[in-house]
Amino acid sequence: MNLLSIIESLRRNLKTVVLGCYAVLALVVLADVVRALAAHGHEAPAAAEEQVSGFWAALFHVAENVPGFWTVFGILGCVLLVIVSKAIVGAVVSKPENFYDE
Amino acid sequence: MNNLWIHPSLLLIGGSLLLPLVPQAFKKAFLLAVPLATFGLVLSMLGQPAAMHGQIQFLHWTLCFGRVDSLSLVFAVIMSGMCCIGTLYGMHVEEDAQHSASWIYVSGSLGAIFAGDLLTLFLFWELMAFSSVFLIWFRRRPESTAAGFRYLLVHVAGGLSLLAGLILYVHHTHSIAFNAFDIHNTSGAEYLILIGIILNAAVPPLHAWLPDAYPEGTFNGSVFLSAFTTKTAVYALCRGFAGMELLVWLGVIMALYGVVYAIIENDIRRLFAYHIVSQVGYMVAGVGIGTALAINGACAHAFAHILYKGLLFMGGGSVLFMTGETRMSQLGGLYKKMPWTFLLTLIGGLSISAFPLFSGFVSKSMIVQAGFDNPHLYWAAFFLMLASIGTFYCNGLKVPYFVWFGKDKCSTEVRDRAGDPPWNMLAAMGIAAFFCIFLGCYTPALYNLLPFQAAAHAYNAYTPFHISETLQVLLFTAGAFFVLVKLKKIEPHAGTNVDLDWFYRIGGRAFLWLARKPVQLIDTAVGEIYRVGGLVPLMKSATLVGLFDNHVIDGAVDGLASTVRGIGQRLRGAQRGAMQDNLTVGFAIVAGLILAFLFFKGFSS
Repeated sequence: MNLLSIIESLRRNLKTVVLGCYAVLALVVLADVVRALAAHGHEAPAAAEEQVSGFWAALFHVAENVPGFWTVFGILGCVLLVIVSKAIVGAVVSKPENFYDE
Repeated sequence: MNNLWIHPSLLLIGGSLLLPLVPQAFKKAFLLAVPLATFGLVLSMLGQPAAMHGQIQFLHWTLCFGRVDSLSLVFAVIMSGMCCIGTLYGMHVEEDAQHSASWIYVSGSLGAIFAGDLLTLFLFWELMAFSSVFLIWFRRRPESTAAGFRYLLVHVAGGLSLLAGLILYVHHTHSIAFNAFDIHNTSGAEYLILIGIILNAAVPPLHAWLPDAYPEGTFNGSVFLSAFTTKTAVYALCRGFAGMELLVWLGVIMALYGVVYAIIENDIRRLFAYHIVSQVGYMVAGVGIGTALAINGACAHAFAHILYKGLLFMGGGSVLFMTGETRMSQLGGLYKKMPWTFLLTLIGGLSISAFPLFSGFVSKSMIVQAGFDNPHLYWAAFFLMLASIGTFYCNGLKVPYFVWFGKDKCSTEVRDRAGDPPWNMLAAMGIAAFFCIFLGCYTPALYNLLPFQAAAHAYNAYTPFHISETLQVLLFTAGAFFVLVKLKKIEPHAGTNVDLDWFYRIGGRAFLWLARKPVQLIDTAVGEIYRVGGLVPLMKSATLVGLFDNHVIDGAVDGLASTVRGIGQRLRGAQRGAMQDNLTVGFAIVAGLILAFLFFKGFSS
C-alpha cells in the first residue's frame, strides 16, 4: 500500500474532500436531532433528581436537552480559546526567540 | 516457593549495569530482552491476589518494596510496557549510558509505584529525578545542560518538600505506611507531601520545569520523560489524596493552562509538553472528584495517556531526529517525505483528542462523566470539555497541518534530510498506535485492569449521547480551525513564551550578579583590610621569628617539617581534582551495596 499516493490523490480531489466534510458535519448535527428526539424522556429524569439552580445547572439542562448544543460549544469554544490564547496571553508572554540568551 | 517475589526494578537496574559488558553482537537482543522480561514479570502478577511483598525491618519501621494491588498494577503494567516501546524506539542509539539512564529512570518509577511505605517511595522518587536528568543532558547542547540543571534544581526542591512532610507525618502518626491520608483533617505534613507530589505532576504554579526541560531532551529520552514522572505522581495522588476537593480546582486550571500555552507554542515538542500539563490536569481533577468512576477514569486516562503521549513524542522525536528541526515556523509540507510519521502521529493526535474508536475516548470521558454526575461539579466538567477543544485543535489539527501540510517553510537542509525514520522507530510508533486504537475499540482490555471493577463494568463510553456530543465538539472545532487557517489568523511564528520559569531563570541571574558585583566588592575590601591590618604586621613578626628560627631550632625541626609538608601535599591532591572521582566511587559503592541487599532480600522474603 502506498500511503503517499493515497494522500496525494486526496489532495488532487480537494474540492470533493471538502464537500464530503461538509456532508459529515451536516450528518452529525442531523444525527444529534434524531438522537435527542429518540431519547426524550429517557435521559432527562436523571438530572432532575437533585434540584439545583444557577448558571451551571441551567447550562447543563440546555446541554442535555437542546440538540446541536455541542456544535455551538465546539465552534465558540475554539474561537474563544484562540482569542484568549493569542490576543491576551500571547500578547503578554510572547517574547523574541533569543529572550533567555545572555 | 509461593512467597518468591522479584521486584521488576531489579531486572532493569541489573540490566542497565550489565549492558556495557554485553558483546556488540548480542546488544540489540539484550536491549529488547530486559524490558520485555520486566513487562512479563509485571504481567505475571495480574492474576494474583493483592499482597505486600519484600517487607524489611528497618529501625522501628517496616519498609515495603512490593505492594501489589489493582491500583499499583494498572500503573506498573503500562509503565513497563512503555519501557519496551521506548527502548525499541531508541534501539539504534549506540551509547549504552543512554539506555542505562532510561532503564534506571523506569525502575525508579516502578519502585515508587510498588512502594508500600513513604520512605521507599521517597528513595525511588529521587532515583527518578537523578536518572532522568541524564536523558536531557545527553542531548549535549548548551541549552540542554542548562535546562537539565534547572530540572534537577526544581526536583530537588520538590523532593525536600516530600522528605520534610514525610518526617513530620511519621513524627505525628508513628506510621510510615503509605496509604490514603486523612484529607478532611490535613496538617502541614500532608500539605508538604502534597506539594512534593504535585510538583512532579506539574501542577501550576509548580509546572514550569516540564515544558522547560522535556523539549530539550534527546529524541528518544523525551519519549521516556513524557511517560513516567507525571504519571507516577498521578499514582501517588490516587493512593494518598483521592477526593481532595482542592485537586478539582488545580486539575481544571492545569487542563486549561496547558491548552492556552500550547495554542501559542511554535516548537512541536514543547507544544506536546504543554499538553502533558493539560492531560494530567484531567487526571488530577479525577483524583479530586474521588468517586469510583473518577478514580477509574484517572487510572484509565493515565494508561491511555502514556501510550498516545509516547506516540506523539515519538512523532516529534522522529521529526527532530530526521530533520534536526522542531519549530513549526521552520517546517511544513513534509507529507511527501515522511508520510508514515504523519499517519502515526495523527493517530496519537486523535487518541489524545478522545476521538471515538481511539483510546482517549474511553478514558477521558469517565472523568468528565464523573463531573457531570455531581451537580456541584458541573462547572468543572464544562471547563474540561472546553480544554478538550484545545487538545484537538493543537494535537489533531495544528501539528499535523503545519508540519506535514500547510506552507513549506523548510530550509533546503531540512528538506534534504527529511524522510521516514529507521524501521525500529517506525515499529515502536506502530505498536503504540495499534494499542491506541485497540484500547479505544475493545474497552474490556483497559477496563478489566481498573481498581474499581464494579464501576468499570457499569460504565459504557459508547452511548449515543456521548458519541454525538464528542463528534459535534471535535468536528466543528476542526471546521473552525480551517476557517481560521483560511483567514491566516493562526500561522505559527517564532518566539519564546515566557512561563513561570522566568522567576528562577532571571532570579538565578540576579543571584549571579549579586555574587559577581557586591559580594566581590566586599571580598576585595576585606582582602585589602586583611593585607594592611593583618599581613604587614604578620610579615614583620615573621622576620623576627625567622631570625630566631634560623639560628636556634633549625637543625632540630628540619626532619619533622619535611614530613608534615609531604602529608600536606597528598591531602591537597585528594581535596581538589580527585573530589569528583571520590564522590563517584563512593556513590557507586553505596548503590552496589543497596542493590545487593535488595537482591538477596528479594529472594529470601
